[in-house]
Amino acid sequence: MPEGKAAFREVLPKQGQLSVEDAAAMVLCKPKVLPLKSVSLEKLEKLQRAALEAARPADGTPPPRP
Amino acid sequence: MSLFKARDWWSTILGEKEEFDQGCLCVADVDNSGSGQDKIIVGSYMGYLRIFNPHPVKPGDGLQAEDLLLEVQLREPILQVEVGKFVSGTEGLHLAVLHFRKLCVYAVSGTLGNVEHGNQYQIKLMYEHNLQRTACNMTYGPFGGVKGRDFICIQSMDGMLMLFEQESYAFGRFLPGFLLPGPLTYSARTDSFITVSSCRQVESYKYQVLAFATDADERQETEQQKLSSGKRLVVDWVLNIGEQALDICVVSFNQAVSSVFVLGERNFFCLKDNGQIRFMKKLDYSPSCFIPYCSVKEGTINTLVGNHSKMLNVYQDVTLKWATQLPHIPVSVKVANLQDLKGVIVTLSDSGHLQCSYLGTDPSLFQAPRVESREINYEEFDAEMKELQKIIKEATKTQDILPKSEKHRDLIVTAEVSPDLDAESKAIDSEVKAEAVPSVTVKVTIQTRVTAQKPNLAVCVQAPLAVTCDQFVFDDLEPDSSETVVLSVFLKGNFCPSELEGICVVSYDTPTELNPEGIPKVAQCNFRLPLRLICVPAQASKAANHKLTIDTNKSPISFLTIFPDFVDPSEDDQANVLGFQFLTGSKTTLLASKTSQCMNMHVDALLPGPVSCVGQFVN
Amino acid sequence: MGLEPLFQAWSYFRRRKFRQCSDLCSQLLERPPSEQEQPESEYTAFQAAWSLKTRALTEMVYVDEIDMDQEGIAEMMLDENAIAQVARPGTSLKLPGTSQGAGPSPAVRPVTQSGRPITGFVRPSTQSGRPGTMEQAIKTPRTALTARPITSASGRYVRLGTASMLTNPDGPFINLSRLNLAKYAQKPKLAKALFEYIFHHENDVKNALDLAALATEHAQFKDWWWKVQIGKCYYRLGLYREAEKQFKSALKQQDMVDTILYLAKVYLRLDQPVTALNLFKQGLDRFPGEVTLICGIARIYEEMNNISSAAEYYKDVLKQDNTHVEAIACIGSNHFYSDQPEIALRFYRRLLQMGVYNCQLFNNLGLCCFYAQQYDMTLSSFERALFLAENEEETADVWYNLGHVAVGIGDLNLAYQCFKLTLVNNNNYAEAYNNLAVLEMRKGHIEQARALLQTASSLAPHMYEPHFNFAVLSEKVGDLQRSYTAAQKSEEAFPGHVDTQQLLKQLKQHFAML
Repeated sequence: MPEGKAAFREVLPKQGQLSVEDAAAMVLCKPKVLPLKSVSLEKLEKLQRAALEAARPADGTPPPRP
Repeated sequence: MSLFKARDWWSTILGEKEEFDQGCLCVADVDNSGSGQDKIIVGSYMGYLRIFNPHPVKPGDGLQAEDLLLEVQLREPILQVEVGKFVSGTEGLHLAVLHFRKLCVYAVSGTLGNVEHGNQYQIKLMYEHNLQRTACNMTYGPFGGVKGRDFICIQSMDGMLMLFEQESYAFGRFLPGFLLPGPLTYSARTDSFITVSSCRQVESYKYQVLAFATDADERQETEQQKLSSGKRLVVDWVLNIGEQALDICVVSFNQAVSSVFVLGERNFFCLKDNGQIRFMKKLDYSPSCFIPYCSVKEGTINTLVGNHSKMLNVYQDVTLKWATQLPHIPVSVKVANLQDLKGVIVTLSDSGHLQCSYLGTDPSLFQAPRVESREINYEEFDAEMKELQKIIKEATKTQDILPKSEKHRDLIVTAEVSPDLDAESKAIDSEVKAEAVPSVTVKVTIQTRVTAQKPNLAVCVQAPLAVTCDQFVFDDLEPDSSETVVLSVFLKGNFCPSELEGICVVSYDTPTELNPEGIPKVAQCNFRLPLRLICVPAQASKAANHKLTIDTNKSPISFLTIFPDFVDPSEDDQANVLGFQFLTGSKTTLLASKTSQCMNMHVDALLPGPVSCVGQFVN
Repeated sequence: MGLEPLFQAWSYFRRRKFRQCSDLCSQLLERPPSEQEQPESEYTAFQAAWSLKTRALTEMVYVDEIDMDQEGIAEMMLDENAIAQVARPGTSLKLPGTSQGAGPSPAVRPVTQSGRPITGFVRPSTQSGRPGTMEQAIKTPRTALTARPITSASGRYVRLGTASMLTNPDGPFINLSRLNLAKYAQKPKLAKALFEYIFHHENDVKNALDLAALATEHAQFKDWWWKVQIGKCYYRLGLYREAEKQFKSALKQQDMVDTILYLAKVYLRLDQPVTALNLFKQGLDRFPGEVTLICGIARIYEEMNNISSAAEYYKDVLKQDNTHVEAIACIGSNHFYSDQPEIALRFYRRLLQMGVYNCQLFNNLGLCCFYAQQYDMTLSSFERALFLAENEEETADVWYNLGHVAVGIGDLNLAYQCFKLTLVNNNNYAEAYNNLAVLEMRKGHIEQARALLQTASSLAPHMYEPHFNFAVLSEKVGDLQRSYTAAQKSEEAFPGHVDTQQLLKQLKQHFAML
C-alpha cells in the first residue's frame, strides 16, 4: 500500500454493495424503419404482379411450382 | 389527399359521357364585353360548344343557370377552340372552332335583359372554311407581322400546315419528315411556327419561308407530295430533345425575356428564341398539360404543370413553389380572370369535369378509411387476453414454429447398416460389368410416441446406387409402437457414386388438439454405406496415370483404422499401402508417407467417384 | 358522329390510355390501304398507326432506365471493373464509409448484407452490396427490397421479354427476327420509336444495339440521342467503358440532364464515386437547381456512409422541391437513428399530409411516435400499417417493430407473441429469431435460445447480434471454444462493438490460463 500524503486512501464500504459482476448482456436487434418505395419500383412491382396474373392459365389454377 | 387541395371555387360536369382533350378549353373575353373579364369556352368531341361565366355565390357552388351563357350542339366533333381577331374589318374577338374538315369562326354576343336571367347570348357564324385534309390542331397569331389581325394555321393529320388569312385561304405546306402531328404554336417575336416532330426535335419554321416556298395550292399538292426530295421546307432551327412533346407555349411577359416552353413527355424545357436550352427540368411524373402564366420575380416565369397523379405543380423556373391536389387528371389548364376572381385556375378533365380553383391552405378534409377497430373495453380485453394466452400455451406444447430439441421428438427413424455385405446379393438389373455385384442390408426402424397417421417412408440413395425398395407405406401407428423394414442397397449404374450416404425420410400426420385431422410432420435420418459395396481390395500398384497428393497437418492415421474392412489386421500395423479395385473397373492406390505428413493417391482415371469416395473416408 | 380513328388514337395516347390507343391502332393496321394514299409518298397512315401502336405498347411497360440496375450474381462476383483493390477511404463504394460524417453504428441502426446501414428509401437499383463469397452472393437479395432474396416474382421476370403478355395478349406485335433493321435505321421518325420498343418492351439489347448503331451512322454521328441509346445498350451488356464514351460524346453535343444521370450511373458501376460526384457538380453548374442531380449527390454520399453530407444535400433537394418523397424519407430515417424521433416524426407526418399512404409510412410513424413518447398515436399507426400491408413480408416487418414496442413497455409476453407472428409471416426473419432467443434466455430456456441463435446467425451472417449473443450464451454454459468462434464472427460483422472486444479479452485470458 502506498504511503504518504500523495497516496489515495482506499475506502472499502462496509455496507450495501456485496459483489460486482460485469456480465455481458445479450443484445436485441434494432427496430426497423422501413424504406419507402420509389415510383419506378412500384411500377415495376405492379408490372410483375400483372405479368404473374397474365401467366396464369385461363382456368385459374396457380402456375406450376418450380 | 395532398398537402393542399386546390380549393374548389366553382365546378360542373359537362354533359354525359362526353370526351375532351387539350384543345377543348379556352378562356377569353369572347363576347367583347369590354370589362376584360374572361369567359370559359369549352368544346367537346361530341360537338357541344358551351360558354360559361361562373360567378358562384360562395366558393364551392356548382353550376347555376346564369353561369351557362351558351350551349350549342354543332353537329361535328370540336377539336379545338380559340379566340382571336379572326374577322377582317374589326379588332373584336371572335371564336374559332376547329372540326375535322371545317374551320368556323363565330361572333359571340349577348343582349342584356332586365334581370340577369334575362340575358341572352347567341353565336353567329361569320365564315367557315372547308378543309381538304383531316385537321388535328391549330395555332393563331399575327403571321407576317400584320397589325390588329390574327391569322390561323391548321395542322392536318398527315402533316400539312394550312394557313388562313381570316376569310381567305392563303396556302398549304407539308412539314418535312412528318409522321404524327405534334403540338404547334406561333411565336410573334420571331414570326415562326414551332412544332415538335416525330424525329423528336423541336423545329422552328419562319413564316416567310413558308410563304415563299414553292407555291402549292390544293390542286398541285399531290405533285408536291411526289417530289419528296424536292422543295422541302427549310427549318430555321432545330433542337433535338429526344422525346415527344405534349404542348408548346411561347411567352413574352414584360419582365421576362421571350421564351419557348416545351412540355415533353418526361422533361420540361425552356428555350431561347434561337432554340438553345435556357433551363430544363426532369419530371418524375407523367405530365398531362401545362401553362406558363406569369412572372412575379424578375427574370423568372411561373408555370403550372398538371400530371396523371392528379396533382398540379406550380414552378418558378425549375423550383417547385406549390403543389396541390386536383379532383381529376387535367387535360387542359388555363389561368383566367373571371368576373369575381382574378387568377383562377381552370382545369378540364377528359370526361368533362370543369373546375375553377384557387390555391389555399385550408387543411384537406381527407378522412382515412376506418380501420376495423373496436371500442376499447379494458376488462373485456384482459379476459380475452387471458383466454388467448391459455390457448397459446396449450398449443405450443404440441405444435410450435420454434424448433424442438431432440429429446421431445414424437417419431424417430433410425437406420442400421449391416456390418457385412449380404451373403446372397440382392442386386437386381445392375449395369455393372462385374461378376458379382454386392449388396448390403439396411434395417430401418420407426419408433413413435404419438399417433402417426399414414406414415410414409422413403429411402433415397444417390445414383448410381439403388435400393431394392424405396417407398414403404404403413398403417396408422399407435402411440409407443414401432415398425421395421429391411431393404438392400447396391450399385446399379456402371459408374462410381460420389458419396456413400443415404437418407430415410418419414412423413406422417399427427392429430393435435386444434387439428384433429392431423398436421403433417417429418422425421429423417442418414446412414452411411460401406466402401466394400463398390470396391474390393486389390494389389497396390505404383503405376498410374494420375497422382493426387493430400497434405495433412497431422501424422496420418493407419489404414487399419480408416479402412478396417480392407486391411488384414494380421498384417503389419505399419501397412501404408492400400489398393482398391472399383466394381466399375477403375483402380486406386493409397500410399501414406511415413516420413512426411502427406498421402498419395494414384488413380488410373481421374474420375470424381473413386476420388471422392475414398476421400470421404480419409476425411 | 365518331372521331377520325387515327386522331382518336392519337388523343388516347396523349391521355395515356394506351390500351385503347393500341386497340384502335390495331384496327387501323388491319385496314387495306385506302385509295387516297400515294404509295410512293413518304408518309402513310399505316406507318403512323404502326408507330403510334409501338409507342403505346412501350409506354405500358416503360420504366426509366436510369433507375434500373439489377446485377446478376456473375456481375457481382466476377467484377473486372474494380479499379483499385485497396481504395483510399471515401473513394470507393465497396468500402462503406469511414468516420468522416459517418452515421449511426450497427449498434443502433440495422445493416444490410453489404455492411451499409439500411436507407430510408428504396429504388430498383439501390445497391445491395458486394458479397465476399459465392454463398453470400446467392443469399444476397438482388432486388432492393429489404430482406427478400430473389424469387421468380422479381424484376427479371418482366424483363425477360414477356411484356407482350401484358400489353398485347394476342402475341407479340413486332416480329424482330423479320425486321430489316437497316431499312428502319434510315428513317429516324420510325427508328426512334422502334428502338424504344425493342429496348424497353422486348428487352432485346442485341437487336436494339444493332438498330442504334446503324441509325447513328445514318445520322452521321450528329444525333446525341442515338449515342445515349447505344450507351444504354452497352451498359446493359456490361461494357461500361464503351458506354462512358458514348455518353460523354453525347454530352459534348448537347447538355441533357438524362445523359448526365446515365454517365454518373456508369461511374458508380465502375466504383468511382468521386468522379460521379464531380460530374453531378458540373451538371449543377449547367442546370442549377436540378433536383435529380442534387439527389444523385445525396445518394452517393449515403452509399459511402457519409450521412452528414447526404443529409445536407437532401435538404438542398427539399429547398427545390419540398414534396420530394425520397429526400423526406431519408432525412426522416437518419433522424430516427440519430436518436431524434420527434424530428423524424415531423418528416414522416409531412409525407402523410402529402398523401403518401402505405404500410411502410405508417410503420415508421408508429415507431417514431413510440420513441418520441406520443403513445396515443402509436398503436393506431401500427394498426393501419398492418391493414395496408400488401404481402406477408410487410406484415412481418410490422409485427417485428411491434415486438420492439412491446419490449419497450415491458410486456415481454406480448413481445414474444409479436416476434412469433413475425416468423409466421416470414420464416426467414433473422432479427426475430435473435430477439426471441434473447427472450428465451431471460426465461432460462438455454437450449431454445441456442437453437434460435444458430438459425439467426445462419440466416444473416452479416449481423453481429446473433453471433454476439451466441458467444455470451456459450460463455455462460462454459463452452468457451464456441464462444470464442462466435465472438470473432461478431467482431468481423461489427468491429467497433465494445462488448465483443471485452468478451474476447475475457476469453483470451481464460485460454491463457489453461
